[in-house]
Amino acid sequence: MDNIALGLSVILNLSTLGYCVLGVTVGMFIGVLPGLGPLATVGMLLPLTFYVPQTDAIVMLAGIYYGSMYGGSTAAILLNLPGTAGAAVTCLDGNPLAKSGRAGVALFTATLSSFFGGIFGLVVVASFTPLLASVALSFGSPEYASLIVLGLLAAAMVGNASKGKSLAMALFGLLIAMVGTDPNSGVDRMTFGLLSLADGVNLVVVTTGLFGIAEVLANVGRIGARDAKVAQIRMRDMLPTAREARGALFPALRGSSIGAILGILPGTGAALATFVAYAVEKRTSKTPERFGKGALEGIVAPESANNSAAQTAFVPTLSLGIPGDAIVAIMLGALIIHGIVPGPQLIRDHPDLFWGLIASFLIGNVVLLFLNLPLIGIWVRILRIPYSVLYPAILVFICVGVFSIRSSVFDVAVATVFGLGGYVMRRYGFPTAPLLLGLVLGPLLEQNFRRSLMLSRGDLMTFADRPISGSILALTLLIVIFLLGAELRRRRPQAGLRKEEQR
Amino acid sequence: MRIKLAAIDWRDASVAVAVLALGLTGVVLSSRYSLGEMRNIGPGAFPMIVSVLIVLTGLLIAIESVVARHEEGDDLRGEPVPFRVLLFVTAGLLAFVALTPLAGAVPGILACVFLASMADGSLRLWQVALLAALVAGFCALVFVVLLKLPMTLVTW
Repeated sequence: MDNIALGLSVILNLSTLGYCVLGVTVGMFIGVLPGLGPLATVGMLLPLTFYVPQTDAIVMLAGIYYGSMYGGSTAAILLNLPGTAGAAVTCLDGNPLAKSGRAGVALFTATLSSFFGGIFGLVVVASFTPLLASVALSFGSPEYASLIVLGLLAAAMVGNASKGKSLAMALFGLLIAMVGTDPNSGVDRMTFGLLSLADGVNLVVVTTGLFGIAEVLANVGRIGARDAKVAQIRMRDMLPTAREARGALFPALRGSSIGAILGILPGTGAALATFVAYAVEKRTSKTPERFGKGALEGIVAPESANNSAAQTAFVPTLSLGIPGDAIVAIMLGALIIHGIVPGPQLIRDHPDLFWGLIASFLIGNVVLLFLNLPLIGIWVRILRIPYSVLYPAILVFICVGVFSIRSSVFDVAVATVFGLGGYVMRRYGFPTAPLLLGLVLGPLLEQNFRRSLMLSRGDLMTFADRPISGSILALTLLIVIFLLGAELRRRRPQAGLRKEEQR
Repeated sequence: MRIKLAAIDWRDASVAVAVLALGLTGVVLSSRYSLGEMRNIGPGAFPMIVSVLIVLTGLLIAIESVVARHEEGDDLRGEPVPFRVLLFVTAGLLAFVALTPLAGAVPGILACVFLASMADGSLRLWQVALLAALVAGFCALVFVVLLKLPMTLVTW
């Protein structure tokens, strides 16, 4: 209780509250708009937070993340177009409901499920993070190195894309992380003689390129004129029947739990949680045939899952210093820029930051609830902003954001290269999120790997001999064997059958 | 196990070659730096390990292209390459890169909006001009006046 009080005392001032509300509003806004995701936005705004106090900065960036999870469902339900990756599953049942004239009910359910998942996740973060951090205080370099390997492999192996391609991307991220001056020897590595690369490739540059510019390249001409004839939605059309409301409780609990677990696992994020939650809900349902035709559980489970995961992704970040997913990885970068070393010492050394962030989650979720339902008319209107107006503005914000890091147009050029590269990667089925994780974790992995070898006098067995490190590596090996086996056993069926198999 | 040629995903097979090439480039680049010794590894050791692993994933992708089928998770595959979009978006970004150090951020922003909006081409000229002015005004107000970013708006 003291902790909550501490948290509230930190954020109950005009500045922090203002940044919290600003963050969730921006998050809601970009969540509603298809074609602009939280990753690109957080990346774009990261340089601006250099000019803001550290707690306010993190509170705002976090707000953008979970705010976008609320907003993502709006376009999914009304237009059958997911506003964010985490809302893709919500289309399946949300849009049929809207087509049958019950858009209000679908939106209401999505918002309330989001709120439920958000609060659930917040409780998990508040209770689990200090626990994990106290365990992690005994971790040495080998444990960290092993954990990072686990996180990278989990990010690459769990997901839809080809395992080989995901792994290649994670490793490519590690390689990019090596560019710049080596902190141990002072040698300039892979800079090709360019002085501008001596500091390494900036995280913001890569993020805005891979997720901002590449996204624009992929979307121009594809997101056409939208159906502007979205009906007016009134508050009283929004309430589900009492039976529907009762039936939503267990799907919400299951969805939140699945989201919480996948959120905590390093490397796996909100989007994956929605797919799993939907699949589980369909399997446990007595009437699975209703799914895809407007089943309310089909909205409740994924929406509570993605919000829960968006909160619990902060657990490994704040307790171990290992990001739960790509977006939190950028926030980890923000913390480091502000001179805070994320890790088990964070809660001990900066309790105000940790509990302030928790308190801001609480306030942010309540604000989002009220931002969503009464103001639904405004969000519907925002959906009508044509993409042809939006994307030049996005590009300019990327330019200005990247430029403002260190007043360098060279960085903007590098971001452009990453944008084009990211677009090519997407065309060839390479997922870009593992690359980002590799980039963030690369320096950490190399430092801990080196230090471990120094401490063990060059004995590689140190990673397997130490009980915690050894167990983590054993778990990693099991995951790899299991998933690779599953992948290779699944021979390719015909294209048409594949679609059926997915359903 | 006999593998029919038609069952090989040639697209993925060529991708595997690209990944192999990336890994080998990494090996060559890393070999320029000292590997050090086991108890004190040099600046080249870690990049070397990563590069060798990339080569191995290249082989894994090659195996996948023959054996496994996976969901791509992205629907860009079958679409024609949008040269116009690639060209004008890149041109817009590079215009910002070229103009900002010469003339300041505002000319850079205006050029970026003008060129980038040609990628889509659905806006009329006056709409583009209005959009460019609004975006430039917004950036000047929020980033320079309110947030006080060290950015020169216009150099004479």
